[in-house]
Amino acid sequence: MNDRTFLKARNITKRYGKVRALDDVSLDIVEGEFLTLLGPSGSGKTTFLMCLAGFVEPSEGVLEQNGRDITHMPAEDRRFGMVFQGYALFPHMTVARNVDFPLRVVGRGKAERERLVSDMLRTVGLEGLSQRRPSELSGGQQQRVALARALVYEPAVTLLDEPLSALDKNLREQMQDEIRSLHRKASGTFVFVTHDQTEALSMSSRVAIFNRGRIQQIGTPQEVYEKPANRFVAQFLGRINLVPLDKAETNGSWMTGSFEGRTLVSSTGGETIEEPVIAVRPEHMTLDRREPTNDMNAVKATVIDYAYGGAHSVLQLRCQSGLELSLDVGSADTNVPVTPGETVWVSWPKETGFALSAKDQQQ
Amino acid sequence: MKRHVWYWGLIAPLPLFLAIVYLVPFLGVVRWSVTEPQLGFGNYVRVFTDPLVLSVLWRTLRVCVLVTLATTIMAYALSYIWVFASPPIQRLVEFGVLIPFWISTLTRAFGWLVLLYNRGLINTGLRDLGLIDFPLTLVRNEFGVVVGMTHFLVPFAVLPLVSSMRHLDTRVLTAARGMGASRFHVFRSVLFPMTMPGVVGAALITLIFSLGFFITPAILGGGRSVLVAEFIYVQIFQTVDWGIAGAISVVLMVAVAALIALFIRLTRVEQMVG
Repeated sequence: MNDRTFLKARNITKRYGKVRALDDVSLDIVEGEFLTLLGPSGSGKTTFLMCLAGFVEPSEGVLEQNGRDITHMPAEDRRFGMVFQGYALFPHMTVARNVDFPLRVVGRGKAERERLVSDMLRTVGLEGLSQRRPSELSGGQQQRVALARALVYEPAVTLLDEPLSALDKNLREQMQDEIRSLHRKASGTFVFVTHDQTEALSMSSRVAIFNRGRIQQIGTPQEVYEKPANRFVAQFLGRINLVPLDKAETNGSWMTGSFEGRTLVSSTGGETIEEPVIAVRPEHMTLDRREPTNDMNAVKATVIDYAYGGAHSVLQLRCQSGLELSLDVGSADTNVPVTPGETVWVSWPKETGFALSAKDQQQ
Repeated sequence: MKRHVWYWGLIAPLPLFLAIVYLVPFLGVVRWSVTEPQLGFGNYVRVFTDPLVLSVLWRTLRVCVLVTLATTIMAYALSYIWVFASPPIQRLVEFGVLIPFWISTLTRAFGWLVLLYNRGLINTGLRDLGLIDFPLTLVRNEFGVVVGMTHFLVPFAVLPLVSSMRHLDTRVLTAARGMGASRFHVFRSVLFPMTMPGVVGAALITLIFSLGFFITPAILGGGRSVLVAEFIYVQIFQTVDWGIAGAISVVLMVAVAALIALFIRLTRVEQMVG
């Protein structure tokens, strides 16, 4: 895929008894990228990360590092950096000894080790705490120790298994920034596992979305969010409205069909779609009291609920056919009718919707 | 307040019972040690000067330290398997550790006698294989005593060790391996230090138990390798020197109490049963 591809997974399958935790997964990891493996629990993302690390051996498939087959190489020979869920720090060692551990394992000289450890601790902002034990640190500080320990020996790739899941919301956002800036400074390759789609979209250069042991889509955050490959991806990455189309016809990159007697248009990849729906993100929809006269897609609906949410509020609407729509409205927008029972028009530009199959199948 | 009284009422029979069957007789033993054959601390002076008594105490210490070492090492290996091996093997070890609790000390000591005796299974087996011409002296000496006592004590040492290994976050071991550490390095610098509380607990339990051993050393030592408990027995029932028997008992009691105090200081009871 790219000449800087250095980890290549080909048709990786992992079976536990009859369960396929990973089902024919192929993925190229490019040097220097921040790749996020995103998916619900049980989707196979962590199993795949453990295959990369060497802690889980695939039942089938090949893993290559710079063209060399490492499928059956044990973890201790791969020496990829790893940040575990719950950090897995050595409780009986000081912070400095924890960070020193991977350097000691390979027998680097004492002076070099001391320099690398203190540099690394400065990078993660823990220089004053080197003699503390992990139990004397806060969650965020332990997280930094785990990162320092994974990065200090400049591994070929750093694997992070849901490292932020134990932190509260504010700290999590702060640590997201720090991990991104560490990625820039270390200029290494990061593979990051999470089930939090916001985290995945804001941190990564590429996202691979997993479900039921398979990769559903790989792309930049913008690609997967705005042009999801299937209904699962569309719904997993955030709230989305799915408007079913009758008598749909495809003409080039546009699909035309009808909904409640109105003609709607949407962008499409051009392939035939079974049971097509138009998928529209709530933030792309706007509200009017009167039928819009411009060239937008528009449907009629009744307000059923209004949930205040700070900067953005969420409006629930129902169409005649019973289809429910969800809309984001700015709380500052005073024109919005928020009285349940009121009839309004919902519209969106044709190019912001995209055609998907209502069937929840990957492509 | 009332509730407290109620709790104490429920608990009271046990300390009362223990006081009657242990404390009162022990006070009697203390009295012998300072009154037989005459008032004074003469018996205690003898404990620390009489070459015979000293040799018994010295042997007891030596045997008990050896037993503690052997027991702790074997119990560590067994516990490791019990906690980290595959389920069928775990069941097997569990069975092997728990069964001995239900077999009497006497049966086990005689079992070892059958194995280790001059014409026992091991010696005849080795002779039939042509490996030895004369039987090895495996019993009626310190070796036999150490073997029998170690066998008896291993299950007791396994419990605190298993508990400390179960509390271990195994991801820490995985992490160490992922950073390139060999199995031995993981053991030496991660697993062993992290299970140290269990090791200390197991060693102290073994040492405390082994100091008072009577039946096993009496049978497997065959009167030649006399430990302190058997020595006290002989002083009371054969040489009828109750004074020195009392004094040695008190010294032993103080030593064991000191070890128990150390044990409680170093380990938390919850850890042992968790």
